[in-house]
Amino acid sequence: MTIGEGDVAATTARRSPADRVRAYLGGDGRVIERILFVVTLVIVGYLVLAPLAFLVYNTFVGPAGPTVDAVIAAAQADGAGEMLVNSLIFAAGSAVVAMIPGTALAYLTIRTNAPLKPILFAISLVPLIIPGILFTVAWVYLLSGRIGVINKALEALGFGFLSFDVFSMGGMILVEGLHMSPIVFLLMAAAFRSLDPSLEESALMSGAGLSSVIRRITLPLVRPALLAALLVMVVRALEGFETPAILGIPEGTFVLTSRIFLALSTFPVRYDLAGAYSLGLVLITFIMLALYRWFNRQSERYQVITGKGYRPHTLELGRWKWPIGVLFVVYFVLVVVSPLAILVYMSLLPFYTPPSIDMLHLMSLDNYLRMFHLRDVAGALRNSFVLAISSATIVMILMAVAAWVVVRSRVRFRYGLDALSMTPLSFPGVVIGVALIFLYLRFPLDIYATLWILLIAYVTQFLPYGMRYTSASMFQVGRELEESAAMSGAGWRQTFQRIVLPLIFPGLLAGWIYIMIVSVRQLSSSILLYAPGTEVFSVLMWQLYTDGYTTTLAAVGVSTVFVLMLLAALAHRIGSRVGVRVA
Amino acid sequence: MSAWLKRLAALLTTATLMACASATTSPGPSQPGGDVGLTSEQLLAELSGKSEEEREQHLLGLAQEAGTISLYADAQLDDSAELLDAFSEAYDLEISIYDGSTDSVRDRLLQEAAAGYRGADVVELDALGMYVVSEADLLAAVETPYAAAVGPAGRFDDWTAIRYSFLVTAWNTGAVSAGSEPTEFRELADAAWSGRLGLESSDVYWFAAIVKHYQATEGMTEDQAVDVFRSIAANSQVIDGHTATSDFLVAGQFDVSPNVYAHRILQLQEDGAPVEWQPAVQPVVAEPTGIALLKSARNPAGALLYIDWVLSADGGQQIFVDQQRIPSHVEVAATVVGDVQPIEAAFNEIAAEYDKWSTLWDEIVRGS
Repeated sequence: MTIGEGDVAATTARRSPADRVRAYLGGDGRVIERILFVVTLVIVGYLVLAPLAFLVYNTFVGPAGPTVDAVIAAAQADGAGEMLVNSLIFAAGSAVVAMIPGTALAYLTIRTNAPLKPILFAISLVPLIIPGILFTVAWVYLLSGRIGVINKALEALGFGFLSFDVFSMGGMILVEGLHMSPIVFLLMAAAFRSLDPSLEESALMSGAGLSSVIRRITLPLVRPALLAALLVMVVRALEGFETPAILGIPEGTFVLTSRIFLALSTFPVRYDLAGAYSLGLVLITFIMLALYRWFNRQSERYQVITGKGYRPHTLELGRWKWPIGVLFVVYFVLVVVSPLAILVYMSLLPFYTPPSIDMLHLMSLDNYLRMFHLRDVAGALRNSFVLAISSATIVMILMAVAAWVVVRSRVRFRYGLDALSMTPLSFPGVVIGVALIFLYLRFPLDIYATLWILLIAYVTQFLPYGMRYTSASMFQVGRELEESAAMSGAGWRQTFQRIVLPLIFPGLLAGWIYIMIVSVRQLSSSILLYAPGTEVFSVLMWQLYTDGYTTTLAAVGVSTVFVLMLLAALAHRIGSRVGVRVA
Repeated sequence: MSAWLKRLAALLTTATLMACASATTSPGPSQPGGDVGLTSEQLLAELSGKSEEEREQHLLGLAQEAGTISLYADAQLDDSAELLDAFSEAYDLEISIYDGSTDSVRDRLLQEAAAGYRGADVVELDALGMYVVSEADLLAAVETPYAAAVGPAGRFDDWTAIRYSFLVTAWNTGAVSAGSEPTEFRELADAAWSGRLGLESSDVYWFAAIVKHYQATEGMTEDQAVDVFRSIAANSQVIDGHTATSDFLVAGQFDVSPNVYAHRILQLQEDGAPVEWQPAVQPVVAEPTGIALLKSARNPAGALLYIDWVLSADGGQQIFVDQQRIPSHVEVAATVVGDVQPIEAAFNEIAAEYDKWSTLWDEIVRGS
C-alpha cells in the first residue's frame, strides 16, 4: 500500500486530538497560559457546573420534557413586579451605604496618619463577624420606632424629630449596607495599600486640594477595586433575605428573594421556580460583569505597582487629623459600639426588654455558661475552624491563578473563567446543598457525610469573592515586573511565586480574612450537608436561635467578635510585614 | 518548570487512578450505623404478639448487636440533647443525630432514598414534613403499644405524634392590663387592635385549621373566615419567625401576638418575662411533631426501642414536661397545659391542599 497525496491532505484536515492539543499549546510561546487556563477552568467548572446544571435542569425540564413554564410563572407571580422594584432600590441603596464608609475608612486607615489606626482595622470588621440575624435584631432594639433605644434617647433629649424607624426601606438599606461595609473595607484597604503615593504627592505639590486629589487621582486609580466592590455589593443585596425579612415584611415591603424562599419552603418544593429566580440573578451578575470589564478595559491605567522603586508612606492629614478622628469616633459609636453594646446587654439577660433599672436584678452570666454546655460545641468549633482555614486558603490560591489568567493572559475565552467563577454568587445556598447531596450520593469516593462535602460547598460559594479580591489586586501590578523576571530567566512558577503573589498579597490576605469569617457563619448549605461528627458552628447558632435562646446567641456573638477580632488583628499584623510595606 | 508540571501530572494521574480503584471496590459513600440484616418490615412481623416486656428485651438484644442508632430530626438543641442522653443512659446504646430544619431533614431523606443511601433509622419531624416523607412511601407502619396513650389526633398510619406545639395568642402584660386581654381570636380583627399586633408569617397550617374550624362550628363561609385573617393582618406587623415574634412581644414592639408557641411563652414566664397566654384565647391550634421508623433502617431494632421510649410516660414524655413542651401522651400533657383544648384539625386534608392554603396565606401576609 502506498500513501497518495489525497491521504496526506486528509491527515492535515483531520488532525488527531493529540495534535490539536499540541497545536493549541505550542506555537507562540504561551504554553503555560493555556495550561493554567485549562486547569483552572476544569476545577472551577467542576465546582460550579454541578449546582448550575441542577438549577438549569430543574428550571427547564419538567415531567413532560423541556419547558419554560417556571420562567413564565416566576415572571407572572403575584406582586413580582413590585418586588423586583423593591429589590433594585434595596440593592442600590445598600450598596451605596456600604461603599461610602467602607471606602472612607479604608482610605483613612491605610493612606493617612489618622489617629487610632491600630484598632480601626479590627473594629471595621465587627459588623461582618456578628451573625446576620443578631445584627438585624440589635438594630431593631436600637432604632425601632416604638422601642428603639436611640429613638427613646432622642425623644428624651427633645430631638424626637430626628428619630427614625428601622422598619422601613430606609432601615433595610441602612442595616444591610452597614453589615456589608466590611467587604468594601477589606477590598479597598488592599487596593490603597498598593498605591504609589508619588502620584498623589505630585498633585498636592501642584497645588491641588486634598479632596480633589482623592477625587481625581486616588479614586480613579483604584477603580477596579471600587467596581469589584460595587458588583459584589449589588448582587449580594439582590439575593439578601435576612434583613428584608425582619425589617421589610412588617411594613409590607417584600423583595424578590422572598419568592425564592417561598418556593423552597413549600411542598412539593418548587425547585423550578427557585431556579428561575436564581438564573435571573445569574443573568444580572453577567451583565454587571460585562459592564465591569468595559469600565476596566484599559487595564494598564491601574498598574500602580511598577518597576519604579517607591516606598508607600502615609499622607499627612494636618489640621484635618483631629476632626477626622472625631468623625471616626462618632461612626464607631454609632455603627460598631452601639449594636455591640446592645448585644452585650442582651447576653447578660434571660430575655430582652429595653434597658431600665428593673433589669439589673435579672443580669447574670448564665448565657455565657450555657455556651459551654452546648452539645458538640468543641467538635463544631474544631470543624468550623478547619473549614474556615482550608476553604479560605484553597479559594485564594485557586483564584490567584485564575485571576492571573483573566487579567494577564491573552487566552481566548479567559473572561468565561471570570464569569464562571462569579455565578455561585447568585446561587441560593440551599440549591448548592441539594445539588451536592445529589451528586455525592452517587459518587465513587466517600465524600458524602464527611467534612469534604462541606469544604466543596464552601469553596464553591466563596469563589466569587476570591476572584474579585485577587483580580482587583492583579490590575494594580504592572506587567513589566513579570517581564523583567522572565528576561532574567525565571520560569512562570518562580515569577508567580516570587513576584506576583507577594505583590498581590494585600488582596490575597483581605480575601482570606473575609472568607475565613463568613465561612464560620455559612448556614444555608451547611445545615443540609453536615452529618453526625461533622457539626459546624453556624448550625449550632441557628439551633440556638430557632430554639428561642436569642440572648445565649448574643453571648456567643459577643465572644465570637472578640476571638475573631483578635485573629483578624493578628492576620493584619502579619500581613503588614509581607508584600508592600506601609512606611 | 517542566519538572514541576510533570510532578503535577503525576499527582493528578495518581488521584484519578485512586478514584477509579475505589469506584470498583465501593459502590458509593459509606453508610452509618450497624446492620443486623433485618429489614424494618421483617422486624415488625417478628414482634407481633409479643408482650411489652418481651418486645423490649428482643429489641434491646438486636440493638446491642447493631450498634449506633441514626436519628434525623428537626428538633432543637437543648431538647434533643437531654432526650438522647437520657435514652443512651437508659439502654446503654449509642444514638447519633442529624438535627436540621424541617426543610433540610425532608430534602435529605428524599435525596438519600432516591440514591438508595440508608442514612437514617428513625425520623422526628413536624407534621407537614412528615406528610411529605410519608407520601414518598419511606416510612414503615409501626404498631407500638405506647401509641394507645396518644389521642386519636396524634396517631397516623405510619407515624405517631410525640409532642405538640400549641399556637396560642399571647400578650405583653405590661401593655395589656388584666381584664382587657382578648378572649376570642376574632376580637383581634377589631380596629381597636390596629397597630398593636405582631403576626408570625409562616403559619399556614394554623391559618387553614382555624378557617376550617370556623366553617365547621360557626357556620362561616371560607371567605368570611379568611376575611377575619385579612383584618387581623391589617392590624398587625408581620414578623418573620416565631423566635423573633416572641422576642419582640416581650421587648414591647407590639402588645399581642395571635400565633406564638405556648412552650416558648412558658419558658419566658419562668425567666420572669412579662408575658401571658392564659386563660387561653380560643381557638388554640396544636401542631404535632411525629416520630417514625424508616423502611430502609439499618438498625430498625434500635430505632423501635427509641420510638417506644420517647412515647412512654416515664421516658421521653416526662422529659418534655420538664422542658415545658407539651407531650402527646394525653394524661401527661394535662400536667403542662391543664384543661386547654386545642381544636380538632383535619391534618391530612390540609396537607393535601397545602398549595392552595399557602398561596392564600401569602396573599394575606402581603396585604394584597
